[in-house]
Order: sequence, then C-alpha cells, then structure tokens
Amino acid sequence: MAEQKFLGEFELMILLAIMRLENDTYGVPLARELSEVRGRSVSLGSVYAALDRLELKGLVKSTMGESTPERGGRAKRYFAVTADGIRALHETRQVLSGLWRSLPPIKGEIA
Amino acid sequence: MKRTQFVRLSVWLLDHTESATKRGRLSGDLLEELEGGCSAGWFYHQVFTAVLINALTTANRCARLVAFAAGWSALYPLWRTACVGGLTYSMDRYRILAWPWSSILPLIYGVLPAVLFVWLGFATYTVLSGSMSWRSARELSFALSTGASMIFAASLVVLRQLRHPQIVLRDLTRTDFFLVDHLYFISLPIALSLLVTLWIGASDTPRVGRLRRKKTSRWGMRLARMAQMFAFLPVLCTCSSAQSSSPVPGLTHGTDEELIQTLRTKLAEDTAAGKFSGAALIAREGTPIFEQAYGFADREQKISNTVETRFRIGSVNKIFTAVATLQLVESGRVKLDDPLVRYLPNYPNKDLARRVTIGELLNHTGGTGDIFGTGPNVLFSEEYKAHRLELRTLDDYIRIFGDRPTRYEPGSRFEYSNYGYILLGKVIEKASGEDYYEYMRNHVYRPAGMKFTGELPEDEKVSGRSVGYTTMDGNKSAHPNTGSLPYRGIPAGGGYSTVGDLLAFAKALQQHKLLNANYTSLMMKGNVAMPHDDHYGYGLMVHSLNGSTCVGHAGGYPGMNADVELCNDGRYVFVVLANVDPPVAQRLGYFIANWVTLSDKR
Repeated sequence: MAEQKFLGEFELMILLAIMRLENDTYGVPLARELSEVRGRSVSLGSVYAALDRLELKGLVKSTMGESTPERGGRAKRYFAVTADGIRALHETRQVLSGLWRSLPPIKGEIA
Repeated sequence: MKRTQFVRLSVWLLDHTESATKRGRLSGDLLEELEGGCSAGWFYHQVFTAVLINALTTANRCARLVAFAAGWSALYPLWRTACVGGLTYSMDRYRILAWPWSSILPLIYGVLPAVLFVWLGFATYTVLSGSMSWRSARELSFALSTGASMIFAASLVVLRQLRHPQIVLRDLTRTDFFLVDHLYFISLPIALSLLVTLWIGASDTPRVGRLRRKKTSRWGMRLARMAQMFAFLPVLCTCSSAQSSSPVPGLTHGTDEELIQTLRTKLAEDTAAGKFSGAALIAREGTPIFEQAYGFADREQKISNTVETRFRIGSVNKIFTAVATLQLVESGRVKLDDPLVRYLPNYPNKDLARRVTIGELLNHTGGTGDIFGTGPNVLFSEEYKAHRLELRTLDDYIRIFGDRPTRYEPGSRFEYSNYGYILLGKVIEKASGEDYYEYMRNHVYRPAGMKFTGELPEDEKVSGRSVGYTTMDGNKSAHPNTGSLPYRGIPAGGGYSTVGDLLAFAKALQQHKLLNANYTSLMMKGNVAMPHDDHYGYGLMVHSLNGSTCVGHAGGYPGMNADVELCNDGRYVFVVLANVDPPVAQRLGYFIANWVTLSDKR
C-alpha cells in the first residue's frame, strides 16, 4: 500500500477544526464547531471515527484527560495535530489552492 | 437528568463496539452532554450513529483480513508440496526415539509446515500493507504463538475428525498429515489462525491499544520489515536443500542407510494409502537396523501395530515344524527315510502311510494332497469350508482327510502340501511323546528365546494379537478375517509371532541352538525343485537372487501375510509381517531381498 497519505475531505475538516480550536480539544466541541460551519449536524461517532483514522496516519495525537462524575467516570481524550498533520495540511492546502486557481470558470457558478 | 436503565444500556452497547483503549471517550462525552441538558433524542441518535459507524469500520477492516487469510490458506497445498516434503524426510535420518518422544517428530512434521505457513502469511501481510506501524515485540510474539497453538490444536482436531482408520492420535506418523483430506481440511484452521494472528499482531486491525513504537525513518521501517521477511529465508533454504537430498524414488539398491530411508518413505506412503499394515524388521549380522510397525492391529479399537504386535505367520510355522522334525532326526528318534506308517500305524489310508516317507513330507513331494483348495481360483475347497471349525486337533484333520489316496507317486514331484506338515506334527508327537504344541514350546520357542510365539485357538484372547483384515472374499471394504481362520494354528501354519521373535528364531538357527551345523545346512540346501526356479529344503524355500541366495518361508491367508528370509549367507535377516491380505508382506520381502542381494557383494 502507498506511503502517500491522502487526506479525506472530512478528515481535512477535522484537522482544520482542531487547529481552529487551538489543539487539545475533544469530540463534542469539534462536532459542534463543524456543525456550525457546515450548517448541519455532525454525528459524534463520525468525528471519532475520523479522528481514529487520522491517528493511525499519525496526523493527530491524543492524550488522556480527566474523568469526571458527569462522564460516569469515563476519561476524556484530547486531540492535537502533530507536526506530520501540519505538514499534511500545508501540502493539501497547496494542492487544493493550486487546483482551484487553475480552474476555468464553471458554468452557472460565481467564479 | 436521571440516568435511566436505558441510557446505561445504550452506553454499555456503545462502549462494547469500541476497542478497549478508546472505550469511554465517546460515551463520556455523550453522558456529559446529557448531564448538561441535551435532549434524550439527540443522545440516542448519537449513540445509534456511533454504534453503526463502529460496526462498519470494524467490518471494513475485517474484510481485508478475511480476504487475505482466505487467499493465503488456498496456497497451502502448494507450499506443502514445494517445500515441506523434503523437510520432513530430511528429519528421518535422526534416531527413532522411544515413546512418548516418538510422537514429537511426527507432530513437528505435521504441524511445523502449517505454523511456518501462517507466520509467513503474517510477514507477507505486514510487508504488503505498508501503512502499518509495528506492535510491541510482546504483542507480536503473542500473536505468532497464538497462531501456532491454534494450528497445533486444529491439526489434532482435524486428524481426529477425519476418522481415518490408519490414524491413531496416540501413535501419529508423519504420513497421517500427508493424507489429501488432511491437506484440505487444514486449510480452514490455517485461514482462521492467520486471521487471529493478524488480528492480534497487525497494527491496522481494530484493536488500537498498541504501544507506539519509537519513531524511525520510513526507510528504517522498510528495512525492519524486510528483515522480518528474510528471517524466513533460512527455513526456506533448509526446505529446498532437504528436498534435493530426499531419496530418489524407485531406488533398488544402495547402502543400508539408503535402504532404511527408502523403506521408511515407501512404508509410510503405503500405510497412508491403506496398502500396508504390519511390522518389518531387518537385521544385519544379527543386529536390527530397521524395526518399525505401521497401521492398526485393531482398527475398531484403534490399537496401533507395534513391533511387539503378534501377527499371524501362516506357513512360517512350517519352518518350526521342520526344525522339530530334524531335531528328532538328529537325536535318532526319527529317520528321514522312514515311511509314515512307522509313526502312525493306525493311519486311515494304509497304502499312503506305507509309501510316503518323512523326508518327502518335509519336501512337499509326498503327494498327500492338501486341505485347502488346490485349483488356481479356489481359495478354499468346499470340503475345508464344511469342516473348518470341527478341525480342532491334529487327529481331526487325519480323521477328515486321512482316507484320501496319494495324488501321485511319492517323491516324484513337488506339490505344496499343508496336509503333509500336519502329518509331520503328528509324527513329532509320536516320536517325542509330547503334545505337538508342548514340544514346540519346549524345544523350539524356548531355546530360541521366542516369548511371543504360539498357536492358541482364535477364540482365546491373546494379548497383542492383531486382527487380520481381508477383502479376499469379494467384499470391497476390508473386514476382519475371523470368518475364515482355522480353529487354531497347526504344524502347517496359522500360529502367531512377532518380528523380534522371528529374528530370535533365525539367530538361534544360525547359532545352532536348535539343530547342529549339519542339519542346519541340510535344511537350507534346497533339495527339490519348485516351479519358478526356486528350491525347497526341509521347511525352507531357497531363492537364487542376483547371484546370492535367500532362504526363508512366506505365509499367506486371507487377512495375513508373512515373509521371513535369511539372505547373503545369513548376514541379513528380515521379517515382514502384515495383518492384511497377501502379497503385501511378500512383495516388500522381495523388495528387501532384491536390495540386499544386489547391494551386499562381499
């Protein structure tokens, strides 16, 4: 399998959201942030699934947080973007913006 | 909001679709939100979605593993034939160990290839899926050993489930693992254990609680993977070199070691194919160089043949009877030229008894006819079948068959006669004053050190006496030969012995413990021509083969076959006993006789 790791659309959004929340964030704020930006609800399950994929790719890292009574004694897990993650973000940005720039005007679309 | 049973249940469900290390983060978030005033509807929706996503992710990851495991296990027969045959044969050169250590090698033969195959599969998967990082050495070895133990257990289960008559778990042979059915049945356990091994050991599998490896460069990682792959190379090399050194099939002469090697291969394969069941022994200068048993003594009770199993020896008894007669000749109580009537004055057919001599009976030239069928396609005459079970004592045989006339002029030609040897048994009784069976025990078996030899009736329990299996009555599936066996062994045959006892007998004969040198060589001389160029001595057939001679006797009957031969002036003695139909033992006997006469030119 390829060493090249492509970022999925949703994974990219998650990475950006973590950056935007200035790292060490967890599932709920991420889901809320994404829901607000996207304008429709994002399920917590899909957020965590994407976070797992990102972690496997080594683009985010997680740390164990506190466990409170409200959480039924369950520990929180905080996520932060790794150096690799930031590199991947830059690469993706470069590629995407390059592609966008070179795109001829699409019909019925404001340029 | 109060936590209801239902909330608790959904949280439990959610937690258990997640891997151990991640467990709690999502459900904790949800519970916190619920405490914070979120709606129950939102909560359940989130739980449902998360459970669904987890299930799909797991399934997706599993599918890849399943596909790989299935594909890989399909290659197993190839791996087996390409490499493993040579490996296992190469281990034959090591000494035969005593039980229970004897089971270890067959287990290694059988299980090791499968284990290596699973490990190789694991390594291949690791190399192919480059996106993985590594798990800790502990996890890795746990994964690999789990795979190995699964294969080990599965191999035994498969062997048991196959219910092949030749397989006894307590006495496995390498060939048990070579059965074609085993090869295919084991593919499923291989796929399963590969799956489990990958599940535990491969890091892109759903269990994510792995310890993170120290960061290494991409190239370091690749090198490490290559190293793992190459770790299998020495094994592969061993396999291939073993393959090239495995015996050449069809070899007919060579050193003793090559003979043993060839026999092992041949007998193991024949046994696996259901063609051989019995024991074989080869001794050189009196010392056994090959002694091995194959198949089952009792297929129903799953008792394996051993070198101490008692096999019916058929006409090999004739050697004993001839020795006993010559002992009496040696001590002057019997004369070879005496007519039968001197010892059996009340014999029903007086004419026959007056004309036939003891020497002629020993040589099968008496013309006294036989008790079994004499035609080429008649196994047993109607006469014999009708009287089979009333024929209990030697006198019974004479009562039934004693009034028949001679079939030809006594002494004029050879015609194999079991009946003639029964008459000799009677002569022994008259001349010695002892019961035939008692005489044999006291003057043949005991002096020769034969502890397991006898002729007890078939309805008596004799420990270690094998069941004979036959298909000679036209029934296609092998079944016990009890329906055709005589009541008990007689001077012409039907007793039982072991390979070791028959070697002891041959040695006693060679060392003149039974007969003096004169009579021993008289026995082995071969004084009458038989059809097919062979000669018959007193109770021994003399075969000329490749410029040497072998003397001995074979025995055959439905469900049994035996061959005892002394070759190359007695330097080689071999015994083959089988509890299946002729000519299994004689064919093997011929192979051995041909080998030693071809190879041992001194």
